[in-house]
Amino acid sequence: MKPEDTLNRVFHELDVRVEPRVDQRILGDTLHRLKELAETPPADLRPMRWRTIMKYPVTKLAIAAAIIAAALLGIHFFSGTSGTSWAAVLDKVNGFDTFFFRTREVETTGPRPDGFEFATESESKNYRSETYGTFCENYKNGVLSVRHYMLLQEGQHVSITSYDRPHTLCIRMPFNDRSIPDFHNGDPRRMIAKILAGDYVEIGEDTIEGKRVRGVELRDPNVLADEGKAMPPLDDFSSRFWIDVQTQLPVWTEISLVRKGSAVRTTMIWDEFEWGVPLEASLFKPEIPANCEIIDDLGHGPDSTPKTDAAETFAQHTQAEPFLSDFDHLPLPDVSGLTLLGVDTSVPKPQVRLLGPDEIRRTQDACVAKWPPYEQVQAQLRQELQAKLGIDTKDVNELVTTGIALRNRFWEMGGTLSDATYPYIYAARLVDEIAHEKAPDNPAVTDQLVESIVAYEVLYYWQPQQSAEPLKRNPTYLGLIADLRRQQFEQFKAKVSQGYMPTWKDFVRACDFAYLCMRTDPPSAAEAMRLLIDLTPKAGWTFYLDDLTKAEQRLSNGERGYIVTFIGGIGDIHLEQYAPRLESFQGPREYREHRLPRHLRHLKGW
Amino acid sequence: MEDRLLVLRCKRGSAGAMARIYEKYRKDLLILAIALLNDKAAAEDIVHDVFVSFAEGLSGFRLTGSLKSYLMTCTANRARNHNKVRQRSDSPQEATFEEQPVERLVSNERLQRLAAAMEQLPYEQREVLMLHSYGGLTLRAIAKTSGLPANTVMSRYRYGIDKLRHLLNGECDHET
Repeated sequence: MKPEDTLNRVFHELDVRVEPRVDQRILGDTLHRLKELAETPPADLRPMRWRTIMKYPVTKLAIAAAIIAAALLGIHFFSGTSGTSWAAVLDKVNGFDTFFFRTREVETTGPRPDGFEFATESESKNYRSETYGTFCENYKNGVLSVRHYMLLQEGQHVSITSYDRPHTLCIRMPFNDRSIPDFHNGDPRRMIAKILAGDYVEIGEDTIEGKRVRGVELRDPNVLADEGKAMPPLDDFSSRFWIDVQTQLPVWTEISLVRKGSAVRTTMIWDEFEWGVPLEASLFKPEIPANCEIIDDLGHGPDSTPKTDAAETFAQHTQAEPFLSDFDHLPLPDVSGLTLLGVDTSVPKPQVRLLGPDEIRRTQDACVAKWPPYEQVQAQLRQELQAKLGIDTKDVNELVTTGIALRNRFWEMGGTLSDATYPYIYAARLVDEIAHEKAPDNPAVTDQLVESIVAYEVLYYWQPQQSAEPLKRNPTYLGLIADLRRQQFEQFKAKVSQGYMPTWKDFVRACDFAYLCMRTDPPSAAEAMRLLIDLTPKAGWTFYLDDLTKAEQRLSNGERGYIVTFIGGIGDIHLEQYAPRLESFQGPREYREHRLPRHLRHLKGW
Repeated sequence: MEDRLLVLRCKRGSAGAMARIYEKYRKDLLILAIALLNDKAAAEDIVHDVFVSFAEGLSGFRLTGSLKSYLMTCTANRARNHNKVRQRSDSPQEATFEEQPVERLVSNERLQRLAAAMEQLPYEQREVLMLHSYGGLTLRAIAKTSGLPANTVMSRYRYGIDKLRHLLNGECDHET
């Protein structure tokens, strides 16, 4: 080893152990100072509130006189006390044909009682030209993931996705009249106009990236809502807009909000503006990687279907209850004091600090890898469950409700992020297996078994974002779970031939089945898609017809890819531990509350 | 980007974000200060002051580079001032933790040996060595923040590393 290497090693092996008293002193004093300063904001950041000023009669008179004088002099008095004409700022930026800006979306939770704290960040760089269109690069946690073009001259949308994965995908779509709102929605000037049209207050001056800036703050979120739409319920909202004092051009815009009942704060920031920067035509020529799979002319997919009508028809047929379990009306047994396999149940929920999806998934995989295999403890578990709960004498409903109670207990104790929860989820799987043996033709019981397995088995294991390795898929899905969904599909086909009215759950199971076998058995996957297409008029899932048709065509042509995405959710970092699973996965209540079929999402204002 | 986000949240008064920054960098700063001063009590005080000052200056603070480099530089600056005061008072190092009944900071053997060897180097060389070799700052960045010509910083590093290698020779031989 070279001496330089040895010295480097010396430096990298330096370590110090810090007694808690040191942390208490340093961090305690720092936090105390932070709190003190937070409670006394600098004078120039305190908003100048019109209502407060106007409270005093003398001031009212003085201001009235000043307004008259200002009007005579042609001064825009109401545009602020700073001498800034905010309307002129908007006029100024609207005069630029080209500009660059960066957008960032940051999701954070504060330290929660269970010790979790999450933060994730996505960033995009945006080039905008009134002549050529837009070019946007998206970065997720610092890694390029998507390039998106809206090309006005070519009349085309181009999205090149998955730069962070070995196989990139290029989707090209026509840019037509329906695309024009998308083009305008991405323009930050539109949002600036909305902020300045609202009841904002001036918040004085500050320094951003070395520039002296002057800002306004808006507290009413509804000002930013699209015309005719309301903002979702929020627990907190603020929006700030800063301009360069010297150039009077926007420097920084931010919106920060907390959805009602959510622990997550979402902050969107628009900054690094370069107004009037020359943008060459070559910037708007997509560079498609050599190994990229190109998909042309997908159109707008399900959005081209009238949403409300289709969703309401479908909802009528499916009782609008996407996650209603057939067993929800039954009481659940109390398993809170149950100890299994000698695992200590008094272990507190894991106090883990996780910072992002990668850490969450990595930790989840590491925890589950430490559990003993299910088959190894199955026999002992069965004996214990018989001794403690008498499972051999329970009927199907009692077994399934016991399984649900055990799953709930599993999630309460930390789910797949704990070393001490496996006895509960294994027990849930075991009782569901017994129920399935007793009622193999009941798809609702099979759903319960699938749910118990999917609760701890992920679709594919964590890999570093830039890994060139193919996805490490979990064989349980291609084997056991695919077999269970196949059984359900065969039962479904038989019932349909006898005039059965399909439900949303049949749709979900069939899509699961197609997804699970699209690699190993594409003809069966195509068959499932064809059956769903044929049943569309009867079942009412017209919202998904375009997707089903494209999936069927792709599978019949021997192509792979996603089948139909039917569940959507609000992106929420603290729910990351429930991915990657099947779309049908229900998880604990906190997860279910964030998930909804796509055809119903707009009904909740998502 | 995580650091930028944490700073942003600290500016909004987030104790969680400040705790995260502290947790992330406290050891690096303590090791730097111990290696520069070979005095654990002083190192603790310096890191204490760096964090408290950081909290106090947040309102006007804009992160333009790496937060770690910024905090490392602050620590080195404070350690330099401490060293000057210590030299002026010409007092022996009497308050090291080794002499206290219960250690609040326990350095590993590597750090103890390095700090002892470093003490035999001129302070300026120690600072450049630690900031570059341990803190990961480029020599150009060190020159910029200390207001010195790049050549001066490079020669301090060169002389320092040669002497340190000589001082730690036994250990290096053992490693090889």
